[in-house]
Amino acid sequence: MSENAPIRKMVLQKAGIIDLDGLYKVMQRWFYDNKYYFEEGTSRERPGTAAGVEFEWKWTAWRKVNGYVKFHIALFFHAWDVQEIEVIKEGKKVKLTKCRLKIEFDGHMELDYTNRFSKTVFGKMLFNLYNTFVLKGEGVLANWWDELYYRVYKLQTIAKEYMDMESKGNAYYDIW
Amino acid sequence: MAERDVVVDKLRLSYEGLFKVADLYKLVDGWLREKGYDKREKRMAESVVKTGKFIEWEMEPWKKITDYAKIVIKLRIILTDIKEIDVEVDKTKIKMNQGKADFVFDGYIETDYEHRWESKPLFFFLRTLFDKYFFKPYTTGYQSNALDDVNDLHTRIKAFLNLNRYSDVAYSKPGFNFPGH
Repeated sequence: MSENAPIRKMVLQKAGIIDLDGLYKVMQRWFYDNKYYFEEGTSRERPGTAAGVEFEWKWTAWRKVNGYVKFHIALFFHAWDVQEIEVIKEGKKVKLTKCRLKIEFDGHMELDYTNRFSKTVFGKMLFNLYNTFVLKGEGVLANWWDELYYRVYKLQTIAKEYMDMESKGNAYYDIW
Repeated sequence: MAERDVVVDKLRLSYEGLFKVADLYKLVDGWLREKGYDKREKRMAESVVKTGKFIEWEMEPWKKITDYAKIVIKLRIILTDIKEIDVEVDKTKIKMNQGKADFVFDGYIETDYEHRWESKPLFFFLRTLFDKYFFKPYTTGYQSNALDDVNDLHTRIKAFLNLNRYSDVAYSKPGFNFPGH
């Protein structure tokens, strides 16, 4: 059986006027640009309240790093009180969305995704030895974990910049 | 479960006046990078209300010192009634923000974060024994480093907000600095 090493979950929340369609496209584009297999597992619309409808999207994406490691990224979008509004921006009418949006960024690193080591008890023992003494000892595991973690941060930065949040920017942008 | 020693407990800072929110974020983010911390933004929330913007940042960056111990800083920044205003500096108009800022700093030392010493009761007992009696100078040194870092961040933010003229009680050191850190 393969083993998972989760990254730390981060949450982004914004309430106000957002270009939700643009954000959707820009974030989806990132997965294609970074060569991830992308799936939208859930896309749900609920009647919500008088303040507006409710949306939910669950995205999962994965990418093979090599024959042993695979990166998984999971995103969960939840928007409440969604209302389409028209705004005049630089003299042009633009359709934007007024809502309360929450994005959860999560992911994990899957080790031995081909189940090469899990077929026998000896294989499982080798798997533990390989992880503990070869990969961990040389800091390779930490490197892969860091790569996934900081790449997810880059995606989060893109979302923050697109929504023009005050906390846009990332001092760690040159890492990975 | 990894054990957390509280080094700084709810050190607070409040400010009301002019500052740039984006620059404040850059300062904190840049400081963490400079000091070798791994970034962790647990929750970044922003909403527009009648009185201005409400922003809440919850960060928990960490720095591994050894395979056994790491420093964790918990920083909560709450910005309320943030408005954008134009300020004239040297006859040039600059966009600034006005509002309230509240900061809460916590500092911890997290030991056995890889959960190696908790699989058996004997290991757990040994860990406690070694922590208390044998590794005490090391632990005190780590605590001191965590304290220095929290105090430095606190001072930098105070300098950014131009609050240095007001003196307040800084957290005192629990021990000496651990050599090499």
